Amino acid sequence: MSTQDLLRVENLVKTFPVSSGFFSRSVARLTAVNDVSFTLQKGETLGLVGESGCGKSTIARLVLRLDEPDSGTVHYNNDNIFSLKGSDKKGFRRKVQIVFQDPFSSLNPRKRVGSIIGEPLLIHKSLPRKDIPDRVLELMDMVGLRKDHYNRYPHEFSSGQRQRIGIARALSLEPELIIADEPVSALDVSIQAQTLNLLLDLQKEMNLTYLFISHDLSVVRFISSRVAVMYLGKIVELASTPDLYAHPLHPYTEALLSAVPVPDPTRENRRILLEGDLPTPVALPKGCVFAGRCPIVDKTICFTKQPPLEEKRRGHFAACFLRNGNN
Amino acid sequence: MTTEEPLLDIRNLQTHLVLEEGTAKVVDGVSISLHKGKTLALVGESGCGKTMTAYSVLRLVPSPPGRIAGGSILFEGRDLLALPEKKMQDIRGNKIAMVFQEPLTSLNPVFKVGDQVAEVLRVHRRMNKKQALQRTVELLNDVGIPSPEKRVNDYPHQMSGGMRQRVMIAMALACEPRLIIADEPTTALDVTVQAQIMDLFQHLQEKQHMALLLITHDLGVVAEAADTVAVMYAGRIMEYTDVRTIFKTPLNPYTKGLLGSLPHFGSDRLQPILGVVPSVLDFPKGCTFSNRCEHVMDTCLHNEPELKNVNGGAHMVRCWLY
Repeated sequence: MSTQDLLRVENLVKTFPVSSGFFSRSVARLTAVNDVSFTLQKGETLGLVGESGCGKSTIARLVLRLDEPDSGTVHYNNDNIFSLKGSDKKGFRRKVQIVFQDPFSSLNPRKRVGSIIGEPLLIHKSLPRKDIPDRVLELMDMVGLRKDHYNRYPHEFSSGQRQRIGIARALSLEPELIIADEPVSALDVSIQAQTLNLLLDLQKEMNLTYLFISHDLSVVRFISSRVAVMYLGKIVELASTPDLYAHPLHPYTEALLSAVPVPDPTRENRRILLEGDLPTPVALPKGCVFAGRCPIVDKTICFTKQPPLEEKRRGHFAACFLRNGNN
Repeated sequence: MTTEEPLLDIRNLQTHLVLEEGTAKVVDGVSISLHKGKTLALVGESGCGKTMTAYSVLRLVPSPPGRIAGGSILFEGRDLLALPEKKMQDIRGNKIAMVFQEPLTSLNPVFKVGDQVAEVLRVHRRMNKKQALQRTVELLNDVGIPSPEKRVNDYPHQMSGGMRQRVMIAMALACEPRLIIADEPTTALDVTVQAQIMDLFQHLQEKQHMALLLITHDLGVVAEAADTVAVMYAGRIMEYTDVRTIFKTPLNPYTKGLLGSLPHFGSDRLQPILGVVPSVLDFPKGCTFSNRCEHVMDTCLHNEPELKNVNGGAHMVRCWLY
């Protein structure tokens, strides 16, 4: 891999204990992230899509070092983030920030907007205390909040404005990488569009790198340069956005894309309906994670061996035995 | 449109919330109609009054603070608003059924799902326990729940979101209603499950000729499922026509704005609507959309436009530009 990579995730595995019974004994392990590898180049946007429970948000937590993985590594600028200590660790925390999905629960209701946005600056002592208010006002201006919002409380704002506060807070330390975990999912469509435009503008201005997590395939298509599709803790396909949407290789990606309702009533709908529900991540299938619901499954191989994520054609990775790059 | 009497005919509905701060007209003069076997989509952003319109049809508006202040809701020719509560109970869940957005909070967590579906049959069809359970198994099978004879004994928390929504639909179908009101039925679901549920609705409509009043903010779902579309904003209908026209030649700037906000491929930026939805207590004077509209004129600030016919009849729009 090149030294240009801002973020390099290798063979990441994270399991959680599943407890039940009177003493909450741990009875099994749930595999949330199952051998995931990807890289992020500076200035790009990698979209991470998948349905609920596929492990998207766990990856966000691991990359931020809010959780420790069972195995695997995350390198940021060639440093393993899980072995960083002291000021290096603090430096990493400054450079990588998160924007959360829910603009209601991610802001402290008892603090004023000015101190919410200024708090990271205070903690990291990156500015003298007296300069903080000016910087906060500058940040508020960048995300489209008015000066007189400075002394207001979060409940006085609409959800779109609250998401702007969350974005301003994430930007306060001039980060390089922003992990956006479903940042527009809770917003109405007109506000969603405003927020997406804002994220694009900020990326250009500040040369930001985004890891953009979402279940909404049209939003991901709009904002990402590359897209990784996850299913049951695994990346099943990873490619550049135009290539993935126009020529998906993995049967799960095909089904997922065909399920998205298109706002065009004249379009004939050719939908691949998947049978059944997502299997539970507690007892993972032995072979391919998607084999149980796959429309093209080959019983001789798919249930016994796990397909590796391979480069099927230039820059287009997929984990499927039955598909080659010519699909 | 057919000349047949509509199944549901809402005329000039007024639903108000009487709050301490004043009276909020959450539904203000809504008139829509729906024919047998057809799907009408009510579209709009949060707070536009689409859910309140649906609740008004079933007379489920919480009171206080809610109050249906005027208008009529004709269902099979009878005005639901004039019926005594006892008669209304015969209609609710029987002739008109509702599917809610959040299947986890709309099912009772301490009863088995089978018993909850069976309850509808016992109340409305006066079936005994055994008959009701038998019919429940059939219904769960109809909505695509595998091994229904076992799943009737599940509690809601033992099922996935998609399965719970299927149970809600089975419950709605139990009495073979003439009309189903579905309030954001797939919003809480993943996209592949959403596709399964919308497919199920379509299937059932073809089989049983039910009418569907679909409330959603998702224009993709609208394009695929609806026959006619009513776009709501600030308690009013802004545009009302058939589904192809809405997407091909939208007229109202709000409808255009909604369509422009959708992320579509090949554009660098989206064209969102400026500003935010006003609070129900603070709608602007004149046209309610005037404070966010790109084409705002002087008259828009003072006079509210009527919802009027353009292009020879079937296309209704509320805007001074037309």
